[in-house]
Amino acid sequence: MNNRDEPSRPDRRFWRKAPTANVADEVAFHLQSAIDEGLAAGLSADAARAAALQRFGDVERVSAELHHLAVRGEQTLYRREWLEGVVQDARHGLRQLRASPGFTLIALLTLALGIGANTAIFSLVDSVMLRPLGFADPSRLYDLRPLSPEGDAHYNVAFPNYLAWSTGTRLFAAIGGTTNQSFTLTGAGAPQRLTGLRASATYWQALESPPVAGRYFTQAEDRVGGPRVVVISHALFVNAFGSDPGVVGRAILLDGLPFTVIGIAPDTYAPIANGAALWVPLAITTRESQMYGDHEMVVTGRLRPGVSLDAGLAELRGFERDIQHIQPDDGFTGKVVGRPAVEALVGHTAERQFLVLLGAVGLVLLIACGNVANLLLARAVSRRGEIAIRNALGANRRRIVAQMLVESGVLTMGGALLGVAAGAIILRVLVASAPAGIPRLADATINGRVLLFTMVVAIVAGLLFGVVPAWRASQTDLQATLRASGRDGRTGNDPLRGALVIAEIAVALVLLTAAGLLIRSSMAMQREATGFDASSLLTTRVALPIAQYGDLSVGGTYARILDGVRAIPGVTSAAMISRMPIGAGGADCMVTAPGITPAGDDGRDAQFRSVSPDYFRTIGTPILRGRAIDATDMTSGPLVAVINARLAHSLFGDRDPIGRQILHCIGINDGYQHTAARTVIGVAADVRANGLDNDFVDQVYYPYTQFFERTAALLIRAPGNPVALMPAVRRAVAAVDPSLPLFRTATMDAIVHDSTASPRFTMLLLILLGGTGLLLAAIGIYGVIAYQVGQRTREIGVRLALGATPGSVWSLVVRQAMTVALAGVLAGELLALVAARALSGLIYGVAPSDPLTFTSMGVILTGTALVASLVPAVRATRIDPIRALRS
Amino acid sequence: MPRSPVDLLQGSLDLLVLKMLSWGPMHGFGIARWLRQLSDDALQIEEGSLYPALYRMENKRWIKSEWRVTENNRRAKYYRLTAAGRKQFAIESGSWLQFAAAMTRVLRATAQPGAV
Repeated sequence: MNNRDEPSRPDRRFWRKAPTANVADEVAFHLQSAIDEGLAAGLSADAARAAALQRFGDVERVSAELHHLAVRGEQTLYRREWLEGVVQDARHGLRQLRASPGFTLIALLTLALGIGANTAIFSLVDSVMLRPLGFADPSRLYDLRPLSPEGDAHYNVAFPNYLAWSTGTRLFAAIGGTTNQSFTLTGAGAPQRLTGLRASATYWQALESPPVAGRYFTQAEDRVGGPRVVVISHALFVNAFGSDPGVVGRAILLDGLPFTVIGIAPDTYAPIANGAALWVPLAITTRESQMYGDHEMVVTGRLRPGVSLDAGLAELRGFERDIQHIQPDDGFTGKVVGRPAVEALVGHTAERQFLVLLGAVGLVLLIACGNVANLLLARAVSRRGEIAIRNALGANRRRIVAQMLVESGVLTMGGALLGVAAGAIILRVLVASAPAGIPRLADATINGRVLLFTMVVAIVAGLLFGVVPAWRASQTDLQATLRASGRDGRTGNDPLRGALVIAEIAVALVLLTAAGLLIRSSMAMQREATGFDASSLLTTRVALPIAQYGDLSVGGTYARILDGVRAIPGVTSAAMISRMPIGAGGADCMVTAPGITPAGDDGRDAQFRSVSPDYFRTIGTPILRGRAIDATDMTSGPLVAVINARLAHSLFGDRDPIGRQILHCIGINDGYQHTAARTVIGVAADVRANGLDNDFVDQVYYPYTQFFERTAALLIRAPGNPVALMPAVRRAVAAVDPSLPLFRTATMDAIVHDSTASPRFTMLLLILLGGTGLLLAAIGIYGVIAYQVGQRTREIGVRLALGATPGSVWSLVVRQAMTVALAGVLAGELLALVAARALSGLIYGVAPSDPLTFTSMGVILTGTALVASLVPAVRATRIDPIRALRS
Repeated sequence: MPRSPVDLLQGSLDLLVLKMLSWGPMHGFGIARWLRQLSDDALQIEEGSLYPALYRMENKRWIKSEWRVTENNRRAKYYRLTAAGRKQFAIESGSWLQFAAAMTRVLRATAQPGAV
């Protein structure tokens, strides 16, 4: 820049005259010189003056114009000066940062870690929770459910209610519904079991996204006896049909029946359809339209533009009241809950997990900010001299604060840039290690919204760690500092830095406690008996297509498959069950004990499963009373049931249930209002049917010949490596029917393990974040203690010279560290008590105020603080009194 | 950057001022006097119009001003070229001379060009 020969910057404005005076002086000089010239040429004074004025032109006009130009120039100059000031401050800041690479590196890495973790977690939250669904105007889409008597909205919608809503509504543009139905696809490679949906024609109107090819089904096709048409997913189109566009219009074999492919649905539908591979028309049967108690449908409504959700729900409430008149129901609340479709997709638990994680990374960033602020404060102290000199040379307070802020701004920007890079890496690791089943998680990317978030986070962080040190620097007492000229008489006790470290420790303890509670919860889950023996157990599934297998052939086919499998060398036993014994959810219906259940009592909702002989021996669930279901029950004998211990107790109390009657539904095919009396033949131990993190539920087991289900899990117990038997199992099943696919093959160990994958993922992340917080807090403690020791070198030297033992010096330093640590731990325990409430619903088998967790985490933190203070403490004992006093 | 002929005519006063200042720092009156002498009074420039040109060029940072004392012991505002002004002068004088040469060539031409 060309400002070499200008006066030094702060003074320039001072020396400069006001622009107006300048203009007048300049014009006056010109005219005077011209007059002088005229006089020298021999003109009279008047003539010389006239000539000068004539040659100059209009003095007034020119002066006014010059004045205007001068002011404009002045303004641009101010702007330039201001800008140059910022540039200069930034350069100075950069120079300062370059001058202390150790500080800069630690500060940048700390910030990059904090900001990166926030970026990564926010990308997940953005992808899963914030990103709108890919349908037209997704903000008008709502997941609609009846409010259950328990006050939540976990029930699906019953067919008749769905029909009333979707045909009656005027405030919703469309109300669409689906219910699950799986199919076996044959004739396109190996037979495949596909999850599919029965979907209403209105489904495609509510969830509006144009097909990749072909069309969706119409109202005319959505009826019983309508044409067999199917819409396939884009994923199936690619995987099973090799992206051959010719598949549209062709018939494919589903459960042995030809269905015409009429369209290909884009991937937009995948999250909300829960990965369904195909859609067939819903075509509600007459019987289904009477099944008031059976909540099977997932329903999505698209509100008309300008209609409020409340108005829409009020309309649906009206339909609910009408239904209550026809079919009074004790569980009736009359209320309908509408949640934005995006929100309904995530689920409460996952949502809470994400929010907890987002909160946790926020806390890590807070600790990181505390550390950087601490470093800046320490630097500000060592730079007191520099700042005082700048101050003395005329830099004003604002300028010094600005300079410090620019410095932290440079750190922030560097931290943010590194943070985005770190975030991208962390995100990739998270996506790769996240449990399956969280919709849209795998699509998480660092997009514009995430970058904006990162920017805001970085700026907030920059202000957090930058403002206090900057303000502090501006408060530097000029005279005192210059007088002390480097020899610092202060004790080095900086209450602000101490408070920062206390806060860091407190926040770190909150993180650690949360991680500790999740660890305890996970341990509690592992300890919970599943109720069966998961080791050496191979599971796979089989489905019998309805076209080839009538009701009466199901039992025999299963029996032949089991015979084949049992004949495989190495198999000690094999059995079948209609649903996996754990984590498979499951239909349930009312069960009562005639003569025992008081009149007017609805009895209990019990899950039901149908099983083969030998089931209980194969799975390892003990029979507590009576006997297991065996081969004698498979012939068309009397209807029998095995109930679990929980149901036995709640239905029969202390009475012996064996030989007593229960009334329970007799099959999906007949609807739930039909019940049949069964004789209880045995009581089985409870199993964790809803997963390890859920309580036992009431259960009923039937012989599979008395309750037909065309899909069943095949359980094969084989000591050693059961997976190695899979080819033999396939051959055995193929010997019965080569068109039967075996799907979802896994060991029972893996299934049990996967059932806790999601909480374990949260736990692992919290352990990582807690560990990071602990590390950062330890660095903070170390920094403050080491700094204090440095500041007290002379004092310690004096103490040593006066005969203090190294031990007493050591304990002096450690005591100081412990004071800070204990204050932080105390504050942290209190904070953690409050924060742990956010974990309720995520932890199992452990109280949010678990004393063991709180104590042990406090001890861990205190121990870490002790270790962090050891190095400075030892250094203090090695201070050479003579050198310390001379320095 | 080459400029259009009209700009050149309008900017010619700037160019003349830059030329004068290329010899060294000078105040407004001095510039006016040099211009008068060099052009043998052929360029009838209202001297007052020099100053807005000077101010504008100063705002553009082509020139810089500074109050100094003249040999007659008067305080006068001296202008001098900055590095940017020197560069501007080189560009503009180049364009102008090219333009003038082209004008001259055309106006002095004796033979009519051949048919197109």
